[in-house]
Amino acid sequence: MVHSKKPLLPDFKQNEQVVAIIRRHWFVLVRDILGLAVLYAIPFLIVPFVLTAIAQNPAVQIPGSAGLVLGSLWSLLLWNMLFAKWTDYYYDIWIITNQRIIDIDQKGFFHRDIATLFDLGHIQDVKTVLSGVVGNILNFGLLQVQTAAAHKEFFMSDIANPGKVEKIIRKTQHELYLQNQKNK
Amino acid sequence: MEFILWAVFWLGLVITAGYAFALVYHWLRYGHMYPAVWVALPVYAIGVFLFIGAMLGGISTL
Repeated sequence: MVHSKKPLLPDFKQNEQVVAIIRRHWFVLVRDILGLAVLYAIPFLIVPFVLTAIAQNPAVQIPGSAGLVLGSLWSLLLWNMLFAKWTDYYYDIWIITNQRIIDIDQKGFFHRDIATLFDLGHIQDVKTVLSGVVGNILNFGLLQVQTAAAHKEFFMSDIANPGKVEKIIRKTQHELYLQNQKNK
Repeated sequence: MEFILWAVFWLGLVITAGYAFALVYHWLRYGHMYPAVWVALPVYAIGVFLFIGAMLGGISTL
């Protein structure tokens, strides 16, 4: 979680301040990177066997530098994919301000959803769910918010420490309520 | 063999150009909201140049 008072989006209202920026848990990124690492290793495990089989045929000659070229190509492709995964992870955020919650959802390249989910005053119920062995050990999971208006729900999935985020939302909502009462 | 390796090189270059455009576009456009992209950008560029250089180096030794 990052705490900042700088306006992040151009449509920030007057006196709107960022209370917290929530990201998915780091384990989500590590899981993706591990998947890429396995993918990266596969050709390096298979190719030596293929080359050994080909080398038994004296008519076919493969220069040693071909391995360097193909290995570099594979590394380059995975390097690109690694940064694409990281960008996808890093750009997905929920911004809790002192007035609302904003969901910024980066879905691959060139698809960016920015949604203001609701005003904090409309929150009716907040629920947190930790599920699975890893989720319980590393304390990450789902935060579900039910609003009073029109059966609307929204989810923050795989977020770190959902209990703490719930407290932040409730505290911010309470402060907004007190401020509204004061202004009346 | 050299022809195949050049084809592989150009394939890698075209795919990387697509990724690089998309990544750098997003990093530059939204960099003000995501400060870590200013670290990621040079790291990514160094890796890309390194791997492209390795491919060219491999082809040149044929």
